[in-house]
Amino acid sequence: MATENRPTGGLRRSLLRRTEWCYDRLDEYGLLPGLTHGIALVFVLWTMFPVYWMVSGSLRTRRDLLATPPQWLPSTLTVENYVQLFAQRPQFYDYLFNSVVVTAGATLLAVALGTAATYGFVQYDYPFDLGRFHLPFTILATRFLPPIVTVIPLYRIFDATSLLNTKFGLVLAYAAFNVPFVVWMMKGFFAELPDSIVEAAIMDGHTEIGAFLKVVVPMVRPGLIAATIFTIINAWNDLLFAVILTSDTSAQTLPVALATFKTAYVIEWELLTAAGTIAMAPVLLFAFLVREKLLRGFTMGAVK
Amino acid sequence: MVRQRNSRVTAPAERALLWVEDHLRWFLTLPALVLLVAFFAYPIGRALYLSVYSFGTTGRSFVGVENYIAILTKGAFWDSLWITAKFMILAVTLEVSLGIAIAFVLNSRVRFRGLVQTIGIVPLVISPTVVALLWQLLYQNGGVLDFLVGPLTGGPVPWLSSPDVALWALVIPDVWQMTPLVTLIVLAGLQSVPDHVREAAVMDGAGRLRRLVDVTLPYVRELIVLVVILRVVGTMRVFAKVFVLTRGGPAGSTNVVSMKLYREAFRYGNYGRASTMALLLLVFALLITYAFAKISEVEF
Amino acid sequence: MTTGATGAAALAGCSGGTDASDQSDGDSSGGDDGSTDSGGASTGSSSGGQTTVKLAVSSGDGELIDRLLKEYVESEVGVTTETTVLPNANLYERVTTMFGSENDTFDIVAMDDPWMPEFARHLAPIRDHVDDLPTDQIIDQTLNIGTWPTPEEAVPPNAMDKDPQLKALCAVGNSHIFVVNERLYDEVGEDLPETWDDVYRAGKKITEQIDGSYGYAMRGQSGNPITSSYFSVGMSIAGDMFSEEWRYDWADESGVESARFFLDDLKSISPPGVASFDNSQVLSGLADGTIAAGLQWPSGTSLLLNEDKAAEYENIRFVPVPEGDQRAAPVQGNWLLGINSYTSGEKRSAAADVLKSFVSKEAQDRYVDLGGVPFRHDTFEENMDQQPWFEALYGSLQNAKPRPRTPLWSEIEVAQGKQLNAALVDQTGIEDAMNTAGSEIESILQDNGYYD
Repeated sequence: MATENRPTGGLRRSLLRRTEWCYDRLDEYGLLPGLTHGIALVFVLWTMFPVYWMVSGSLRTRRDLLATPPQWLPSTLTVENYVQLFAQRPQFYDYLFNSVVVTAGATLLAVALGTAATYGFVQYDYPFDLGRFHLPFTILATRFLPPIVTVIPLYRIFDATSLLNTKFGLVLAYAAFNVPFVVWMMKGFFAELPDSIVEAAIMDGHTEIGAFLKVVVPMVRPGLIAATIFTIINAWNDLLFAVILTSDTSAQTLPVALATFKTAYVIEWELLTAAGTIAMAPVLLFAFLVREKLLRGFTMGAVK
Repeated sequence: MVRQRNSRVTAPAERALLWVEDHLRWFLTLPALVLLVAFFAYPIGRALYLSVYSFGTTGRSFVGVENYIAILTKGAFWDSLWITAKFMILAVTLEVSLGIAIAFVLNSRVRFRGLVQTIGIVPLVISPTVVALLWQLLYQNGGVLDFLVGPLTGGPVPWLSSPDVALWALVIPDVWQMTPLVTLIVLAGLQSVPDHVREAAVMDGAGRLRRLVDVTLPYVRELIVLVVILRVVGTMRVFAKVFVLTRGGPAGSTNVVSMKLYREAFRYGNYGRASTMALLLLVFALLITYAFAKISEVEF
Repeated sequence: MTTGATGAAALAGCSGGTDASDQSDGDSSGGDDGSTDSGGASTGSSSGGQTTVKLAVSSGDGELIDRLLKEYVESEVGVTTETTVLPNANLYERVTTMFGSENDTFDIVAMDDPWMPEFARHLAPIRDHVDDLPTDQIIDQTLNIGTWPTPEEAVPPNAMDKDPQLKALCAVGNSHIFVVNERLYDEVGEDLPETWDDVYRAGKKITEQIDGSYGYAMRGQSGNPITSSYFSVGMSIAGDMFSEEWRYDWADESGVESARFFLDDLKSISPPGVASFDNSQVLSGLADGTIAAGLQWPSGTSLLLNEDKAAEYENIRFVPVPEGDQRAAPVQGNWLLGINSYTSGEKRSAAADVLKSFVSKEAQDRYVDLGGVPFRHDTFEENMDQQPWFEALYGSLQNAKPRPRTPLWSEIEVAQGKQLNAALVDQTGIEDAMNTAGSEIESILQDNGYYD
């Protein structure tokens, strides 16, 4: 499973060889670090510039932000936008709170259910061999249905089950929509585990459930963290379901608030940049805190 | 699979636990499956039901397969499918290739790797509406992008007002926002190549590229398939950027399928046609990805 | 407070416990169930605590509506109001989803007037739930626009046999006004424009002579923006969009001439990129002086008068919409408030009371203090100095015409907008564009039985 031999045709071979030659030359001259750091730098600049524009815009007046030619560095800084934001929209705190609660709940649920399901598909046999491909594929296929078509029937179901305008309803909806992603994300990580791990763990005295929780799960941690982060992002940023399935600040989330800044007449840049900056912060903080876990590789300590 | 059971099991609680373990394969997968069925079975069923009706000012009437025929034979649906396909091909190619390249760069010994990785997440974290509005600002006449690109083109670029440029003007924000997704997923995979396998390959004297192709790539192959599928589906569904920046214009050059769908469902109230379109899209997406997944020999 | 509630309930009880009258207009173009009569007599029973009336409004005007409710109406009527400000782009779908399920999440919904024909069958007739609506001072156009079928406008065939009922009251008295930058006009020696020819002539001078400034800008984005923007030009040169029999009237000689004026002449004095403009860019251009003139809804103009937000805040003037060959034809664009017919009878009465209070003279006086856009004669007359644009708006409203009143308006608007936008970017010829728009629109109407 780990290594494969792939036959390469003549052209590909020579192309590979030439690239490898370039690579080795670069390495020899010690240019490689420079090149990689250079690319990383360009990536950082390109990625961060629009964000810088938004964050610096939140500290400037509207006139400065919209000035042409663009003012690269803010000439005067002001926190007026943030003050205005909380003065004009005091419910912003509610939106923030709702977003945090709903996202946390949905992520926990989606990651737990999705990981469990994937482990099952990888580890066990299912009737008609469905677990190999077809069940997981059907699960992924649910992502293909355009959300617009799902949301209206969902509104009716929620209406009938009194889930409308509840955080719990949103948690369920977001979890359901992210389980497929988690399943397919974790699939690759579970598949790489050596077959012997679980057996070894059982021989060590673990139960099957214990083997799963205490031995297998820690080994796929990078995948778990990645899946968690992306589920958080999906749940945090969804607009359509939040707008349709909620009706007031007891359940509405940040994306709804952000969308209101484009009014019928004008885009309220001052408030939008400020709110957008605030909306970024919690998820970024989380991602920053777990960055090391994402990077840590396969720990070999568990299996001898 | 051989299982050894400790024989000191007698208490009812432990018996229950054992029963769970015997049926673990179901306990693991059923919760997820139940949730999915609850949230998707009814909508799909309802979409099927609605697709055989037509909604007009006189109420709704049963029309059978007329909706399907109308949509498939009139050019408008295919036009917008083609535009969506163009967008998809452009965006996915760029995102996947750039994303993988950067993942490899980050995988090597780059300083501040954790920081760069967190920075990579930032575009993803921003709400799609805000991203769209932000780029509208950047595309402003005489704004940032005009300033940067101006010297090359000798003047402001009709980013959003030229039928030829508009689609690219939508691809750019998508690439900006989604390349980090590819990078992060692939990077997570690259990171999980076990050290011992890598070391063994080095010891074997395999060249760097051979190592790359024969050793590392298989680990990330399935993740690459995943990101391609994700981005294909993601670009097929692009909506916020189109709605905010161009609303399907200029001259219908960015009239992607989701815009059409949105209009049918939410503006015209033609739930029948909207459901039909959605189901057709579902079928297309299924065919494409099924074929792709089978070819890449993706298995559990 | 409880006396207030009982008082309100008593009033409601007196306003006739008639059945919610016929809701199924047969004019339905949405909702995936056949329209049902929500029935239920309006009960006048008083509740112990306060009733809460829930509203859904759009961002942009909604905040002002909310303030008036909280600062005046609530205590007057004795109910609590809970307003949810929804994104402007999402209000429509939120409301249609609610109506489609015959839900009672919101008791009062705000709607842009073109949506009213479509929603009419889901709205409760206001006069059934409240007496003595203070409508004598409300400007006729704003009252008519909330009535379905709309008097003095072409009526869709299957609504013709209906009695007009007041289904929604105006909340924002918007009608197009014309914004001009006096400094730029002075610089080229022009007076404030009165006709479209004036606008073109002056605009041409400004575009040619003043660096970095353009004479005009329209909202050119495909769909609703460009169609709305075109209306004040089209109606003033080519007349009404439809004839009485709903035949497309804008592809004839005057129609093409009008389109040419908009898509060629006005475009030539507009900044590049205008084909992607929505209101925000036009407003920003007016604010920083890159655009000398343009149509605006009054609601959006507070920005232009703000020193921190508009460089040109001292030079902004408001005049009536310019005249074309036919007449000055400002297009009406009111936000209306209607009562959800699926809420309980009690709530409907409370909602009607809220609306009655909202449009009263005293409330409206407060409203303009908060910055609202009025729609009563007396409010205008007594507060003419409140905002620089009141005078222009007052004249405009009395001349204003709404967009065609039909539940199919969304489709028509998109079809027309697509062609206008295509011609704006020179993708099709102007005459072709109007002809194609005409045939597409007529086929939409045909499919819905307008010509049988």
